[in-house]
Amino acid sequence: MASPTDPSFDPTGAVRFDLRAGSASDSQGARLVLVPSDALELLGAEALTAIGLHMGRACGARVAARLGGDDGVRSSSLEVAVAHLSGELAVAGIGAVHVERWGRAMVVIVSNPCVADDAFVGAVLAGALSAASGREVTAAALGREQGGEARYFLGSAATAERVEELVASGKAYAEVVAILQGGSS
Amino acid sequence: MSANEKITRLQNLLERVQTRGVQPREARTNGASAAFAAPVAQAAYVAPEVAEPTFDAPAFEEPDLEMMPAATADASSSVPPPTVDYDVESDMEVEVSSEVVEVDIDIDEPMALESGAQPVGQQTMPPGEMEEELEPLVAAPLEEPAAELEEVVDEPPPANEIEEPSPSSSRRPIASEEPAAEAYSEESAPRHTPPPESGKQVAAAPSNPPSRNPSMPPPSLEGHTLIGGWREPGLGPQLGPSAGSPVRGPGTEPPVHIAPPAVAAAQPSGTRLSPDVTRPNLPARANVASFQGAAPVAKPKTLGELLDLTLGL
Repeated sequence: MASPTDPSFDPTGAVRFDLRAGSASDSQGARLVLVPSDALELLGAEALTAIGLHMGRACGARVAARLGGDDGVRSSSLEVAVAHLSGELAVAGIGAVHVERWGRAMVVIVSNPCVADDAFVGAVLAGALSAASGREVTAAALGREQGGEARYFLGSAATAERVEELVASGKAYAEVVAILQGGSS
Repeated sequence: MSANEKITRLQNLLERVQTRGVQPREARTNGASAAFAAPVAQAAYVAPEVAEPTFDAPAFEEPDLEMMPAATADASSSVPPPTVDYDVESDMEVEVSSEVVEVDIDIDEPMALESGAQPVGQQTMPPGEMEEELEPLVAAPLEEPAAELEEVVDEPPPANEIEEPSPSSSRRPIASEEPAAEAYSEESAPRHTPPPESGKQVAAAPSNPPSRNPSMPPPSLEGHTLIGGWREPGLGPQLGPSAGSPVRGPGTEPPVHIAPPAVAAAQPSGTRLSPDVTRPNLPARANVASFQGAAPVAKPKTLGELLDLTLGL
């Protein structure tokens, strides 16, 4: 297990398989189940959001456990915190994650997501960051690009709702984050 | 057949011709009935008037035989058809053999005859006989005497003679010379106006000739340039560059100030008004804006600071 001060993410023993018992568990001993991603597509948006939040919180909890709790996560540098969060989401099979900062706005980009539904991926991101930092964060989809990358704004619930409205009105993500910085609304 | 035999036969033939030519006209006319009874082919060979001068006795002597190929050569060239008038009534009794042509074979000829271009026969003939026999010899080609005689006797056949249609390849009668002479006379007439006499054509003077400067140099220095050259006529010294007038380019003309027609029309006569324009003198550039402080740049170092920023939106 990595120490809280270890900046790098060590995935060793992140998932354990007990073949005799026929079980899979994470590094904390929590039981896991391997579910085909196509099965998640069968669920509705609300169910996907609930499952995503739960999966994300589990990943965030492991990050916090690695980095010394939510205080340790918040005090960690962006690079260390992003590395641990991305590592845990990658082990869970959510996709490749990195973070962009647009002024004061925090934008998370997910490449090769396991599920195409934005509600599920957004719920995973919001749950992971909330569990890791100890602060309630809400995600809002900013749109997808041709390569399959999906951008999500992470912030307050009110701001996330506004972002969804701006995206629904047809504005590009650059315009949305510019508006969020205090520009024209 | 040797040459001697040919000569002998020719002499016999000549004698027969001479004796029949001496006979009175009535006897020959009576004998014509027998000739008409003969086949048409034999009648075609009858040509008494032509045969008499052609086969004259001295012409068939040994030295005179040289003229035969010469005459043939002349006949082979484009010689006009014979124009001798024949007495048809007296021609019916004379039979001429075509073997006469063979006489010209074994005779030694001078080198000049081999070319065939020199009319040797005319030169070797006696001058006295030449005047009489030249025309028939030239007119009657001996290369095909029978055919020529047929052509000569191309006149209305006797009543008891069967007229056969002439083949398409036969010779056609040649028109008389009188229409041709008329045609030539028309051709010889001048078709165009006679060419002008040699000399320079002088153009007609115009009704109003334009005035032109003389091309002769003036007696004074008016037409001469300073470097000794000659100026083109018509260009006065005041127009040349040496006179001091500047050469103007296409864009160097001074602007022409023309008052607007509306303003000019609005001005009463006698008073002229012009606007007094006052324009501001402003600098082209200046440092107008001034800034104080700097815009806050969020550079969070920890995840907690970034969360505070993004949650503060």
